[in-house]
Amino acid sequence: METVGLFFAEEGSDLVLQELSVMLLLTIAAIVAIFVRRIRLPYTVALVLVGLFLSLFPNFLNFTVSSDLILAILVPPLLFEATLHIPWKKLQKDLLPVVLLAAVGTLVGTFLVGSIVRQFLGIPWAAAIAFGALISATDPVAVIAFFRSLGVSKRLTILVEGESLFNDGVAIVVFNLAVAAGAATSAGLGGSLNLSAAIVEFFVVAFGGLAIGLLLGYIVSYIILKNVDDHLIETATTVALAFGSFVVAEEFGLIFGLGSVHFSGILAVVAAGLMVGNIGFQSTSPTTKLTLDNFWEFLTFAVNSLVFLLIGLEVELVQMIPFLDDIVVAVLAILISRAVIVYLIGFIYGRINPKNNIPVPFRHVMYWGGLRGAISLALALTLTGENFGSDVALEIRVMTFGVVLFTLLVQGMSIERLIKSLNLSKKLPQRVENQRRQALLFAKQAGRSELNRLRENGWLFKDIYEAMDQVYDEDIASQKDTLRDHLREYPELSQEMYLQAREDVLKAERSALMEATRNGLIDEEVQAELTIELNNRLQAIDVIKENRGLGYDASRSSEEGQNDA
Amino acid sequence: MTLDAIQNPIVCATRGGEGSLAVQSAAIKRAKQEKKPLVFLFVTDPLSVSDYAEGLAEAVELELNWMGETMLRLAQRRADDEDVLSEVRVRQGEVKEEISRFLQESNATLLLLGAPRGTTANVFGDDAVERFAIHVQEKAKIPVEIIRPELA
Repeated sequence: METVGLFFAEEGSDLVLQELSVMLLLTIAAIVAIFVRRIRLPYTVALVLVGLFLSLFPNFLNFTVSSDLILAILVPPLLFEATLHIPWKKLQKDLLPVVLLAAVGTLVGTFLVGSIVRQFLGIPWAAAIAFGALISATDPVAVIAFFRSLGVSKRLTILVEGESLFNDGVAIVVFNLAVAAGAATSAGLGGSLNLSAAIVEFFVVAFGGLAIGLLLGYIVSYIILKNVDDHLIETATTVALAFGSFVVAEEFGLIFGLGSVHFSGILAVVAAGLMVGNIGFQSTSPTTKLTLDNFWEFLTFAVNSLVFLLIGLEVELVQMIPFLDDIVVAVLAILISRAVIVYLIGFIYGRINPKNNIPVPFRHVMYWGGLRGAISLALALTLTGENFGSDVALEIRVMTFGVVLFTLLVQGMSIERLIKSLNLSKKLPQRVENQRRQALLFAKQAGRSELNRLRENGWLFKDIYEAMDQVYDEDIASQKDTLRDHLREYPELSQEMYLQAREDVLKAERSALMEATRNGLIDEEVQAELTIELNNRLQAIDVIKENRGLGYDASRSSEEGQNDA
Repeated sequence: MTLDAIQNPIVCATRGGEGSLAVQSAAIKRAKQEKKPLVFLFVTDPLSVSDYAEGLAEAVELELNWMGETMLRLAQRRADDEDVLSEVRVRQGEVKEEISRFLQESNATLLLLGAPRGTTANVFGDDAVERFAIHVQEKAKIPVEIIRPELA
């Protein structure tokens, strides 16, 4: 397996060919993105399917994906961007269940999956534990996309995303320990893992990574983002931080002359992203914040597109056929272990903190939404014959591909139905119906405006215009009545209409300030100051939407009646 | 109109939720029948925003007041349509306590509360909205009625 470079086309390929390959992949991703807008399929799942299809043509895009490519180049920006938008205050409220799921859950899951595959497939212990660890890293990109489109509670998003961010780091640390034990066995250095040394190593690597990320994130937030008011420099700094925190943690010994000392790069990126998102972003100007948001949104789109296309391209369906039994066992193992982790930890946490209990419908989504993706694949690709023997390494790789495919295709494609059936979507039928009635009214009013324009331009005779205008009047009046009837039945929708309108007018106020600055009516400083205030107001609208009965929220549900008049 | 001018009103606590139209209609009807002034009351709880950063917390509070004012004006227009004299009040504080305080200050004769859809009158009185009503009734010593949208 190759471990350096971006992509490897045919032997001897040059930079232009590699560049062309990346462009081709991004073009394919863009085409897929256009098509999935028309069908109800998660973008990431569609990319995997297209990747699988392309993998049937061996001479088309002949890439070899290296684990370093995924772990060091593709994963850091994805994790960094995800953490930028996690409000610490909200994460703090659910930090205990997130940590329980990410740490205890990953360890329990690793052991359970390892035990099952060891029992049924006879895989050596170290290899079974390595598989259990690598497959415990959840990748909720596809699920989070559904959360956004369905308007699911922010709390559920934070639980799922928070668990995923932290369990990646934990899974990698445990995986490395298991691989080291496997390598020691293969080299005849004694098979058993020193448990106490492993636990110490686990904590050192995990907390070391977090500390490095926090330190670098602090430096960037307080020294650069707070004091330098230049959106280009600030954006470049966040990019350097996302990759730099990973490299500094992973290569700590090399950089500081401390031999093989290393920490978790993934946890360093997560900590750095949390620091920048919650402190650095608050200190920047609105222009910089907008630039940062747009830049990271684009980078995430591009990188995610590459990751999921590459997953599809890397999986060799033909290679999987002889291992079907193993894949079935692996899939069952992850389903069982996920159920144990989510429901058991949900139950225990409910006992510890009944007021902040994780609602049962949330647990169902967290169970079925535990998809696997890039991290599992990257870790599986690092396995070679030197670790556990080539047969076992191949078996683990194929099982990983199988599980990743199963979770993405089966769970990824059914999670939307589950969310809807559990009534966790804010897009309730009455809301959709309200939008439909509003849209019809809006369309008819636009039609009448066009009619007026045609008449003013002399395109229509007066009598035809008047007749059409009369029909439009009746249509619009009738449409208003149907909308009013609906609001009478569901008065809470008036509040939503208000919030939407309020958001629009605040945005209009912000645009007016920009216009006034462009016209030289006000200074940029005045615009910046007032824009911050308006941005706060817009953020406040989001907070109100999130907290006022627009979705399921356990913290609110017991008080629902108190203030719902 | 000052608070003094609207003594002994019927108070309708509303916030634009599921039961809002039902409770507002019932309040307007009662005010008309009993020839009493009507106050639409919206209470925001500053504690509910205390977790947010300072600038955002202040913005949330201001926006909640904006929304309250708008929702109450909407209710007031309904009362105007029925020729019922009404006033609107947006107050800040812990919701139960603030409603009770307002009822006492205004010497209100009755409080009407809306219930979310799906809740029903409970013989044990342990439904959330019922517990809320009992608390306010005991504290303010004023009758409280719950209006359920399905029955309105």
